[in-house]
Amino acid sequence: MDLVDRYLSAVGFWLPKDRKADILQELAEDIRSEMEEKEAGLGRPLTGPEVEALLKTRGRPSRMASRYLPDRHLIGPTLFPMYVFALKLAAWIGLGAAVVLPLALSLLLPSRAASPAEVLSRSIHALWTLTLTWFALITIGFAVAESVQGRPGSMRDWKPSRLPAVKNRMKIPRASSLAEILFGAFLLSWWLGAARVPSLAFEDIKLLPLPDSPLWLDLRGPYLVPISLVMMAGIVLAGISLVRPQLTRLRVGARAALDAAAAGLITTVLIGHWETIRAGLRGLRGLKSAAEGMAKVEAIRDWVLSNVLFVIALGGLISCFVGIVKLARWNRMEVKADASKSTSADFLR
Amino acid sequence: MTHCISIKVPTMTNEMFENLRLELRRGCVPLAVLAELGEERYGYTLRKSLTEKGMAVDEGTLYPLLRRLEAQGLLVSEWRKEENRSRRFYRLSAEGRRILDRLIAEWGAMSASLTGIIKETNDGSR
Repeated sequence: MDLVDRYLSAVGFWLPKDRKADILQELAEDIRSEMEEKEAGLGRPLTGPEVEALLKTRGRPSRMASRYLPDRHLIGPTLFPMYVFALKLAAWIGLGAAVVLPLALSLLLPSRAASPAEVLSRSIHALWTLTLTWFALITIGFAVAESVQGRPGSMRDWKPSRLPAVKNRMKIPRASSLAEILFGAFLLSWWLGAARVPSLAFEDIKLLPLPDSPLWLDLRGPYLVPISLVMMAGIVLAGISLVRPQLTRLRVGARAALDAAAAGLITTVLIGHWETIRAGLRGLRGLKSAAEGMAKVEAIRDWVLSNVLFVIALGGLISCFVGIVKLARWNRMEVKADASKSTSADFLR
Repeated sequence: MTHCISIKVPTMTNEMFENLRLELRRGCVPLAVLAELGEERYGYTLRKSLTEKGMAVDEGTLYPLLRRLEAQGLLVSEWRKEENRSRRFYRLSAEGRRILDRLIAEWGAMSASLTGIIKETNDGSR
């Protein structure tokens, strides 16, 4: 009976205190009845291995105990897909913020303080801490949501009319093309000096005297025409998408090429001036007198400008990468779009 | 390679069948238990009786189900001494009897529907 007592004790460990004695008494009676019946059939007491085999068929103690407990979920089947989606999203954002961005910065703007290998090692450590924290917060958030949505009626209170519209990934929204044209035209006219924006016009910038910045002078000098051409091409492309919103391989390829060109141009300017920007920043600590104040402003100005340009270049690179991925998965995208179109058509028929 | 496939496919099919069979039986167990408890029984004799009638239910399913049905007011139970042993005896409550009658009617209708559907499918496949 020692083995049976051990089994019952192990089951009891997982049971709620108020029902434990009652459940164990009934379970013990059931085991005893089964053993007695087997012993009567065999005409002898059961051996140790036979008792063990009998207990094994009843399942692990924790499993046996769980059958007596109510069904409980930290995150139930309704919220689970959303929970997995949130975790994936957090993982991707974490990967971008903690690894890709610092690594890209260290490669594009090399510093003596840390080599790319050191940056990668630090980034992986940061990713681990960051994702663990986010995962914990997301899990807690979903567990709270689960306890709220578990209340009666909470899942019945929804409106089908509030569901989001089905997205056609093979079609560029006209509103987005129009916004791109308007913004592009405004930016281009500002860039070419045709439009005056009070706080952004070159002559009005007092705090950061852009016209004197070597970086800016370079952008406005040899790079003026290529950058203007990229901007114009972007506006033309958006115009085509406005008239013909259906996405084509050529359109995606052209957009990726334009993004790559913009990122390439800006990166070339940045690399050309990086040593000057770093030297200016290094000299900041030594500048104390009022006469040296201007040099300080200039160093900060170049640093801010280089960061803005870096963000634009990075955006171009990411957008180019997305375009390349789209092209690589083109056939699958088309099949998906056709499937969703035919599903909608089936319902509307 | 062929050997691997020829082994895996039947195992998966058996597993799939076993899962579907369990799913099919799961919904019928409460009905069988309620029907058997028209007559007072304790857990072990109920389990034996169900097994003998071709509806084997393991103890990990049966005892929690008995408690659930009792909590829902469909069964009543009491601890009693029998053959010098304390045993918990279960029987249908008045509410349990009413629910059982409705479940039996539902089962009859469902069984008739399924028989019709299966007959149609069998006739069609011939």
